[in-house]
Amino acid sequence: MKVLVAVEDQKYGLAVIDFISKHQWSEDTEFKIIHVIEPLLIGSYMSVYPSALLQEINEQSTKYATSLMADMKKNLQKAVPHHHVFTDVFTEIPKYGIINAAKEWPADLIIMGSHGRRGFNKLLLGSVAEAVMSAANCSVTVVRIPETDQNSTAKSHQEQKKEAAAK
Amino acid sequence: MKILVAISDQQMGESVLEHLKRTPVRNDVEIHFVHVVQWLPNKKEKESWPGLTEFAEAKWDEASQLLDRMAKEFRKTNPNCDIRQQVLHGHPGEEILRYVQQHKIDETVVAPHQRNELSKFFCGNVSAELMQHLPCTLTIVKTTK
Repeated sequence: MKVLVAVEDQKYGLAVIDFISKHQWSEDTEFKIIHVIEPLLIGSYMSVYPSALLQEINEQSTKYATSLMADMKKNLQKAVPHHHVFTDVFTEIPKYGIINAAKEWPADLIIMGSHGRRGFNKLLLGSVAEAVMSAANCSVTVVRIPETDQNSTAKSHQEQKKEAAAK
Repeated sequence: MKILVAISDQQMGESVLEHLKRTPVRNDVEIHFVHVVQWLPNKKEKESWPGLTEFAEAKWDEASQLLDRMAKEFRKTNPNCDIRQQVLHGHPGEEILRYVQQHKIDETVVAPHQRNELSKFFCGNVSAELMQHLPCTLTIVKTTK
């Protein structure tokens, strides 16, 4: 079985890994963790930003993606020690990137996180999970973080900030 | 961990069972098989049309039998899991959402009908509704047939 794990950030990545660790996987299961870097469309069509700034943004995104993937691979390998885990990073519009990556491999299951945006935020920022769910040829699991956990995470971030400010 | 498996018919149920075989759950999981009957006649309708009572009973029995078959099949591969069955009545999206909230479900598994855009417009799209409103993890199983 081929499982494509689409990770956007640390928080949802860890939630997805937690979900994976709660299930059992057949011996032949492979996990491919991907991170899709969103292209800077504005910069490529209009020279609004200086090219040096764009280059720096790209470099920072790639650097973040590389460290995120290394971290996710380490955590997932801990959760499923007997399975093959590998990573991939590429630049594409996220929903198309995930759908195409699943088609090309071809994946049997896509696991991804969702911010659970509603109303105006959803209209503005869209829902990658919803687009993947309706267009993918394989099964899709969308992992949600329970609201209580989200609140506790937000609180802990605030506490960390307060502590840092106090120092 | 609590998993809700929403089954609409035999074919979709088989697809979900196939998925559960490929990603087996742990023995300590509580699994809820649920089927939502969309329309049942009310008291007034039953009084006006006596044949509707039989129809309603047959519909309910059919749903119970479907869940029995699914639970039996699931028990073959997961003998130690706590299996529960429930037939609900109402709008599928709303009833599943209510059940998830009431029972504090951690994951919901559904196998939606492969509908085109026109059909989605007229028949609705339960999986998209669940995607928007469910507070827990959602797995959409693509049917193999």
